[in-house]
Formats: sequence, structure tokens, C-alpha cells
Amino acid sequence: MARRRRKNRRKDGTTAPLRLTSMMDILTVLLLFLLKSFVVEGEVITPVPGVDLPESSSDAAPQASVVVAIFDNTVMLDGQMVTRLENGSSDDGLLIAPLADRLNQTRAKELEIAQLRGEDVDYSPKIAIQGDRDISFEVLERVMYTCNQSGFGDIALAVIGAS
Amino acid sequence: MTILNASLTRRRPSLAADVADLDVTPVMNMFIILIPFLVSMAAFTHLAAHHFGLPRDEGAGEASTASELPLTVAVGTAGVVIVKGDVVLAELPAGEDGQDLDLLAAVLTDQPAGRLVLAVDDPVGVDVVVTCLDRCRAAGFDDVGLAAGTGVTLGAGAKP
Repeated sequence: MARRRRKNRRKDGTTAPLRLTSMMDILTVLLLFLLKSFVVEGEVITPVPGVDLPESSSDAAPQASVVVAIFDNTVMLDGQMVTRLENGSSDDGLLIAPLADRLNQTRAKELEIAQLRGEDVDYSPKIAIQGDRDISFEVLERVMYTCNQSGFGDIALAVIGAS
Repeated sequence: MTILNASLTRRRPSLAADVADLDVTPVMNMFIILIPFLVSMAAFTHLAAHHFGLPRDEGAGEASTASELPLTVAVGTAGVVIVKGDVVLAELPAGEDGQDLDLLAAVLTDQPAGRLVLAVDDPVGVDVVVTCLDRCRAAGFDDVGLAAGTGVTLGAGAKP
């Protein structure tokens, strides 16, 4: 520290001050930009790691909801793995039984919370599906069917927005 | 002359004495902690959604006749077929680069806006489905239904 002080000291004994004004300007602009992005975006669902969402021109905002993620034939519900889908149809037809069980449990819990809050009359279960761009429509169809059978009829298909 | 000499010989005040030395180190410290924290939490991709309202399964309803069916866009790996009622409006075969969805938008723009059903075959990728939804909505069809297709076969109708 003493050596640094000696370095900054000129030959005539005066100290050369470090000009931080331009750096302060950059940091202030950056800080304002970041704070503004937080205020405007207001993300209500978080992208699940490993899911490469398709791009879209849609600008409809996703709603806060239960999140089902599908990638590499793996189905996850709220960040927890539920099942792996085998290629081809199963014995249950379109229904994915493990996902249906978990969704029924989730809906029962949400309904219980809504009743405690006195909001059970307006309660409508919502679900967001984050499907990887490489999955086939067959998988998406089965997940949507299962969601609908479990009472989650209000479905949002998450995409990367245009902006 | 005396006055001029006096003004020339007057000592100018030191510049260093005029400038207030503002210590910005605490502010810099705050920025250095705050900005990496905010950058790590910032969302650089904007999430959007396509919303669907699925009806409850209440068994089979009355089947519509072909003439009552809304404008239907059947999407398969072989291509896209646009059907209105029982008339095939256009067939868009898939090329080596995949589906020609720009042409789909051009064909749909000529149609009066209303309900539209997107019937998708099982092997079609989700990115193609989302792009089809975008094209349909860009052409003025806001009420788009999603249905499972039964296999697109080309060669039955008109080509644009």
C-alpha cells in the first residue's frame, strides 16, 4: 500500500488523483438500465434449464402458474422430474398417468390454499408448458391432454418473445 | 500602466484549491457489488406465451359436416394443406429446408379473418407448430384452435 502511494506521488511531492468520473457515468447508466429492465420485464415464470424454447412473434405475457417442462422425452413439474416418455404411444392412450397424479395433487393443494384465502370461487387452475423446440407435437399433445384431464384447461405454451 | 502591471503580477488562485475533491470510493464500492448482483439476476430473454383454453372432455358431440368446418391448416412432414370446408385451397409441399411457412402466411392473408383450426401431425416439431401459430395470427386469425392431424397427403388439390 505504501509502495502504491509512493508510485502515485509525483516528483514534486503532489499526488495524481485518479479520475473516476467517466467510470461513474458508465456504472450509473448500467445501473439505471438494469433497474429499468427489472421493472418492465416482471418475469412470472422462469425458463427451466435445459429447455430450448421456440422463438415466436407473440407478445402475450405468461401468467404465474404451475410449470410443466418437456425436453428429451423427460417431463418435469415445477422443477422436479415426473416421468420419461417412451417412444410411441402408451397403454393409457394420450394420458400420462404419473403426470396426471402429480397434477391432481398440485390442483388439490392450490384449491386448498384458495379456500383458505377465500378465493376458491374465482379459482381457475393455470398451467404453463415449456416445451423444447425439438420435441414432437405428439409429446406436446399428450401433455396438453393430461393437463386438461387434470383440470388445467387454461394452458400457456411458453415461447421466447420477439423483443 | 501601473494598473496593468498590477493585474499582470497578481497571483492567480491555484486551480487545485477551487476543485472540491469528491470522494467517490464508497459509491464505486456500492456499484461494484450491486451491478454484478443485478446482472446475474437480469433476464436477457423475454418470455411470452401462446394461450389455449381447452374444453373439458364431455364425450363426443355432434359431428360437423364438411361445409360447416372452419378454415383448416393441416401441417404434416410432407407439407401444409389449407382446406376450407371441403375445398382444398392450397397445398404447400415441404422443401429440403422444411415447411414453406412464408407462403402459408401469403395464402391466409387472402382469406377472410375468422376461426381457424391448425391440425398438426404427430411427428411435426413444436417449433414448426409455434411458427404456424405466428403466421396464422399475423394473417389476422386470432381465434386459432389446435387439433391433432390425421396425416397430410398431398396431391389432392390446388397449388398456389
